Amino acid sequence: MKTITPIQKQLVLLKREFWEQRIIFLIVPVCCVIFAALAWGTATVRAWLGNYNPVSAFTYSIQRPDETAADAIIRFSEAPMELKQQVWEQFYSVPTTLLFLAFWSIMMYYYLVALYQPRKDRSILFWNSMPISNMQTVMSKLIAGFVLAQGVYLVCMLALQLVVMLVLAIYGMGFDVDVWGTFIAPARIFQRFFSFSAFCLINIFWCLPFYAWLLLVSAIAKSAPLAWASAPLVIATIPELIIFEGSDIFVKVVQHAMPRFAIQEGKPDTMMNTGFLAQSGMLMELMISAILGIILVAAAIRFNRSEDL
Amino acid sequence: MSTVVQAKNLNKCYGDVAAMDNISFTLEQGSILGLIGPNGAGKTTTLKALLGLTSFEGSLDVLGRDPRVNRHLLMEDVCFIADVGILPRWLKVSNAIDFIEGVHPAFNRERAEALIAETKISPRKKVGQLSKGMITQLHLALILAIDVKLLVLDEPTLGLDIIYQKSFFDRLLNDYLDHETSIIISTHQVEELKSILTHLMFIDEGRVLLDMAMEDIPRVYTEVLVKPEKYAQAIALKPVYERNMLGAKTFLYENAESRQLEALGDIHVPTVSDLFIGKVHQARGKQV
Repeated sequence: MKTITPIQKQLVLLKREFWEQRIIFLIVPVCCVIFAALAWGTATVRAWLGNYNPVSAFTYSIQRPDETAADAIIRFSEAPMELKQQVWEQFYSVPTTLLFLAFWSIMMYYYLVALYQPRKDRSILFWNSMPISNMQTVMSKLIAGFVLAQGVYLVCMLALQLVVMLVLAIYGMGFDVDVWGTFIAPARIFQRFFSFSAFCLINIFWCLPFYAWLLLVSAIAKSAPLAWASAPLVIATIPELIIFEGSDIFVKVVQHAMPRFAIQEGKPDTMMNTGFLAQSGMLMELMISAILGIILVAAAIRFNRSEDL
Repeated sequence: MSTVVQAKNLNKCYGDVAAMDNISFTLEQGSILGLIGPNGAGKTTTLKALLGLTSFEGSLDVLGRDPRVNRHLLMEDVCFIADVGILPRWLKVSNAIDFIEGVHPAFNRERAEALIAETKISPRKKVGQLSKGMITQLHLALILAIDVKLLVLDEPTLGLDIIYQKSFFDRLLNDYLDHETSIIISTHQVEELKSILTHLMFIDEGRVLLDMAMEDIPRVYTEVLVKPEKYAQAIALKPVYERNMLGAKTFLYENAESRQLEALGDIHVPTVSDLFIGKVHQARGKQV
């Protein structure tokens, strides 16, 4: 009898998630990237035809009302590097944020059905006829969402930004500007990618309680997991709204349902900013999130039903 | 010969209905137990209990383990086929092979591929694209390629055509049985299976009605075809069950003296079906 290590088993379980959720893990992000790339490509072609400026269309308008697109780009190329970095930061953050909002929305669905669906279609009897523990199953769902899927979206985001940068650089060649110093270097694509990836790691702990709660509901709900997942929030929020005319609970849950960077208001360099961790109570909140999330994951492992519905 | 399953006083209720009512039995290594019962008798619940797939009360030891604890370790030595298609519809045949190879240490990929090659199933197809019979064929091929100590089959040939049913039982008999693997098989096709069974267990309304080695059945149970003039004598010997047959009656007896029975008419060993109907009738206390 051959030996299969827990890590080898986990890799196979991750493959299973990929096979099952091919739409989430592959098709949606690739479609998003293709759609955005086509949109930018079309914009560039139209710019060459002289009736569209992709730079002004996707940034906080570097083009003044009284100047042509060519003049604006030449003026932009002569701007200080910090300003150019800020402009590109804004420029690239729009599709990135949209892509990741799509990702986190899909993750809500994924975690809500991850353990419920196999019981509903009775395939749990097949999975449970294999030597796989509850812990391995639940961990594979967690890792598949937070690491594998997020990794795919990160790579798609990188690909999208590289495509856009390439398109813009080609567009910039039509003007008398330093293409590298205007379109490529200040975009800081790879620096932003690694910074963003690090941010994603922090976000895992930030979002863990919310998604672990969905996973727990998915593990124990006999029907309508969305209703069961929402019920405690509704029950807690309505009295708070009536008594205090506002709901901190609701706000807090929403904050933890989405990555911190996506909802943080403030400066254009939000995405690169890790200073928020130093804010009063933020680190503590992150730690509490992580602990609460781990408790909920443990509960999902403990209560994951073996029986079909 | 070691004990594979030791069940004592297993109980489980769904509301007011008892799915297992003090079920106790033992299965030795190399045995093939046929679990027979009407729909809703508690067969599937009993099988699920053995696999740790349902909660229950009582003491249960399967291959030295309590199925409720570390079920995944037990599944390295136990395989299971449920009574309905449980393979996920999105799973490709090739993915299913890759998956089991990746998680089951006793899986033989070549054997699975050879078994699938004997069917019309394409490895590129998804389960959802296969017919009901093909899904069963696929599941059986995957499971028969796993070398385990205990094989649990819950209505394994449901939905299969006669040719594949025959082929399955032949394969089970010729390729799989090695006198070390034990099998528990729940089925309605008792007559086709009886040649490979070593033990028989009848279950109804959550209770065990009969648990016996096949070789002991002729010694304990006898059927007699009795003509009308001897009905009174036949009834006086307290048969388990009686049924009409072409102007006569067949009486089923338990532990009756063969000398007395021979005086009533032609005696023979009851079929498994007749024995089952007789035992259910006896347990329910009415005509079936």
